[in-house]
Amino acid sequence: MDKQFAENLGIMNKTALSNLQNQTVLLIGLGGLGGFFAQSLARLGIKKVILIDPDHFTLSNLNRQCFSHQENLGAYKVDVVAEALQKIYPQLEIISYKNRIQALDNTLFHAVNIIVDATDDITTKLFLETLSTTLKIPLLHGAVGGWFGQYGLIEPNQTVLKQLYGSMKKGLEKTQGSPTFTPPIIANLMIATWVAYWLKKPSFKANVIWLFDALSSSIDSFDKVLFDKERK
Amino acid sequence: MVLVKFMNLLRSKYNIKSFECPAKDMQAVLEYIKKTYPQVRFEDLYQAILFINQEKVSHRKRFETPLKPGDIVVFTNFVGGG
Repeated sequence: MDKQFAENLGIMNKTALSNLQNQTVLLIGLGGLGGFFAQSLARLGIKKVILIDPDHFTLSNLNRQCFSHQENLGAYKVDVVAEALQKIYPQLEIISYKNRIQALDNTLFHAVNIIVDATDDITTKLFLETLSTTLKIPLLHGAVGGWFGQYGLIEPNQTVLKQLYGSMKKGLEKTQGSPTFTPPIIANLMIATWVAYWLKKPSFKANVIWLFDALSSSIDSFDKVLFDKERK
Repeated sequence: MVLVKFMNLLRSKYNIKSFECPAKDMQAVLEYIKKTYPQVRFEDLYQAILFINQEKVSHRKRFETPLKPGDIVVFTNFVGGG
């Protein structure tokens, strides 16, 4: 085991970490959530990632987006993030696309083990839930707005996000914006959720959306039952 | 009595977690909030996502939904930013 990742062995054995590192991760969105999530993937020693984001870094990204700097404004996020990740873990294999995921063929993702939703677009989030079912792999959901965030691992054939968002186009982020501190918290709660899932920890719950509130330092769960019925 | 819970934005903004109120429908819940917690802006309630007994109630007349003793009403919000 590479000494670089030895500090991760306090919570899992070498075999578990090695198996985790062999997972291929499809990460959609390299903004506030996605940048920090990508960084944690490299620091976990994940060996292969697919990065998708059509956007460039802009001035308004600097308040919160990992890897955005004055010098790289205007550069494609996938290019900047790929270069930064390889400085952390040079052996990391990175495939990147400067497209919206809806424009890409599913066959590109046949070897993917998990989809990570770090996009800021609810329509795309719903698309990813459907893609999870199509590819028969789990979806790790994350979203932020103001003091608040939400995250959870959703298994294939579930419609948690569809029932949660319904016809919503924007959430609290519309009025609350995206402050400096919320994205890194949610990004790392997301990755902790994925590791707990991978390690089959008894406390892990699939298909639960956790609602995080930085203002009152609390996390509430909306369990699966909550989304089973909707009164129209 | 009906149990009303505020989550995330409403809870933090108004420092109200939950309360019980006598209400035969959602309109009566709104009247109770108006009287007891006048600082709560109705705009925040209308923009919130409403659950009654763990069912998402999203129709236009959601604030006319009848209630019975023991019902649990949750006002919450979701986020979609990345």
